[in-house]
Amino acid sequence: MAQPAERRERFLILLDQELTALSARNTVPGYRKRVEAALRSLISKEKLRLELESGSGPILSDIRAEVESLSMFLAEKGE
Amino acid sequence: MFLMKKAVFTNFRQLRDISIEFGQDIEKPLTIIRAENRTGKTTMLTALSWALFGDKALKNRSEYRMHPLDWNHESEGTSVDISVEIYFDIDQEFDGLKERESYRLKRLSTENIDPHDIDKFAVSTQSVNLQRITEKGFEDISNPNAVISKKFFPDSLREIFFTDGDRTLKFIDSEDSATRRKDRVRQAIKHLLQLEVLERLVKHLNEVNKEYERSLASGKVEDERDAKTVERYYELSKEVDELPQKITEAEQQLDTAQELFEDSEKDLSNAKLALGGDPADIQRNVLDWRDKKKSLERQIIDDYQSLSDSLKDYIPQIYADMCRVDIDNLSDYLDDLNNRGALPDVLPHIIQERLEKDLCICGTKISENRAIEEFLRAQLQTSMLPGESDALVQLRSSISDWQRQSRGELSFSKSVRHRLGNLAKSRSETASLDKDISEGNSKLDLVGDQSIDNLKQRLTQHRNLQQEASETLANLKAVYKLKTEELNRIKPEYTSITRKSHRHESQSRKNEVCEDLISIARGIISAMGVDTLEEVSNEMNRIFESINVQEGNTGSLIRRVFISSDYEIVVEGSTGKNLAPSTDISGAQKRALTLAFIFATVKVSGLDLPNFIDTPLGTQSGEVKRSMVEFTARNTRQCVLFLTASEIAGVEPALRQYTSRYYTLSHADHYPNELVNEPTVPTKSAFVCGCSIDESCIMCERKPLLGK
Repeated sequence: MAQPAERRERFLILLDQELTALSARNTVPGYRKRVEAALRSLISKEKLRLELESGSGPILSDIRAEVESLSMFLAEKGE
Repeated sequence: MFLMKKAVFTNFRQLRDISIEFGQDIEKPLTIIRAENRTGKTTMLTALSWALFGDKALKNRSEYRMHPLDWNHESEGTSVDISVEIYFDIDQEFDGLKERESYRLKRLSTENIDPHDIDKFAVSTQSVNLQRITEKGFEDISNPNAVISKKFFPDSLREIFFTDGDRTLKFIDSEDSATRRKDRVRQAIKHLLQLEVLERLVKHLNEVNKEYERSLASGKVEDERDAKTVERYYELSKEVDELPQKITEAEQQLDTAQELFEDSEKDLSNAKLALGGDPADIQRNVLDWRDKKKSLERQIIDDYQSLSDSLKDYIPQIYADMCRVDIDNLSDYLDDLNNRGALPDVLPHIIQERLEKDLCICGTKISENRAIEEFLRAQLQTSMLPGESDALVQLRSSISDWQRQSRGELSFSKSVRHRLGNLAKSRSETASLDKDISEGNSKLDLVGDQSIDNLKQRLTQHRNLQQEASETLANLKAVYKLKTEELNRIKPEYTSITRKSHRHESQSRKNEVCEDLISIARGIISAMGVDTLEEVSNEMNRIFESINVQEGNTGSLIRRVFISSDYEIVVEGSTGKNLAPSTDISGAQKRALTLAFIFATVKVSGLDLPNFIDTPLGTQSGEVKRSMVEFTARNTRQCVLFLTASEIAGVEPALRQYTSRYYTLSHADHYPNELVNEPTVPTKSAFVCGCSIDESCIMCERKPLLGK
């Protein structure tokens, strides 16, 4: 039986696979790590908001902030 | 772990006042609620689901009448409070330590009945109250709906843990197209993924991405043709993004419409079954019987009137008839006297004359023979008085005359008897019609406020609704396909146009970052979907094998079952050829396969939640049912089974082995046709007793043929 812990482990493996694929597409150093951090942060915030049954407004601001930060990072790296 | 302890139902349809405690023994995880059809099994299942998930558990709250069918608004009021209260424990583990918390959940809804049309009602208030039970008392939990569905009992898995044995057959054996069957399986597995957080994130990322795209588009594109391409690209992109959600909603609407249609069909079929025919015919018959009865009653009154008139003319004869027996006896007596020669009585005159002359008829003197003289004097003393004999002769003559006369009136007597016979016959026919009308009305009462015409009308409405939903879904899918194709066609051109401009570099970068994030989240969802599909597929096959339903001819022997990558449940025959679940496998195999699919999804969910299954066994052979019961009991921590007597038959020992709580649910409407004793609850109410699968008591004892 797939326990939640096993499912979480599987999720982490898949996340790693997807990030590796991203690294192959975008080779800017540190981008992978920043994307992983942004995704984890956004997932925690989505989870919290889902539990509180809050609307989508605040999460969109969070997404914009993360996206802009990543975009700035790429700009700084000359991408 | 979620452990159900108790449920209290108040005014929820036929569950007016019912309380159930659930078995919690880990070795005996089953709670059995034995109930015949039309008793309230499905209602109880719905009520439990409603308590946990609210109106989401109902297909259409505004159409779902919760208050009791026999609610008397005049004596009980037009406002009805309906509630379901459940008590449960949650076992949680913190740092290796197990902790158990107890909760009470009460969901309440108030319906206001229209006093001018009692079939109409409006839902006025709804509330839900979740409390933690502590040593100090009850502690209110805020945001109860979210806590229940997100922490205790995931709303998305509702249909997997609350299942109807017949309904779940549609995963493998539905009359719909293969696409609809696959959609159902896909939805069930999608719910199982529990990836709502990631799905929401993708949705929100898409929204933000679109903002950036719009921002890009707002830049000036000088070439008119390019501007049109960009504009069209955004239009299409917006539509293609929105359509999947619309398609999902349309699928849900179609499912709801389909379930409503199936429910209507079931209601109509149950109504017909309960009535022993089409209620419309019975209604017509009742009306005919009423007309016939009225006509007979008129006939009876006419007959009485006519009889009364006849009697007035024949009163003397009636009196004659009244004393006929005595007169006939007297006549017989006089005839006897006459036959013996006592009438007319001539002997006393001769004896008198002989004694006076002292001369016997033999020539000797009477006085010389003392014995003869004494004998003759004694005879003279016992004979009739003078004139008495003459009077009797006259009386005999009169009686003979009267008898001759009165015999002539026998025709009158015959006529009266004939009329009385007709009256008795009419009376008997009226009584028989009364019985037919009463039985017909009782049958019609079974469908309560839902007259058959309403049921038929509802069926038609739901058929139309289903058709509309099906057309809408097909249209949306076709539109989605066309728009996606067009979008893909113009995408290279759009990319080329946007690359021409460096003015929007920053927006374009944000756009790319968004697409990176979306791509990762979608990749995880997709991979987990494939994993989960495989897990469910393998688990389903393992369960199906353990139930071991190999029956029928060799052609239907099954090698394995699996779910294809496009979500079709496939049955592979012993020869390696695929069998069609709807035609090539037996009913027992179908039910076992459905149960295997449900339990596989339950297992893969990894959640320790109670299962509630309505009519899971059907009417299969004892061996198959035994396997199903054993599998269910060994693979759940707590399971509530709603079983009919025919499902229980042949599998009693297995049920006894794994059951810790028994209830028998009966319905007052089943008296007197099915129940032996008259229930004490209102006629449209269900009631429970603690009888096990092979017991019966004064409350639940049923007639042998179970209403057949």
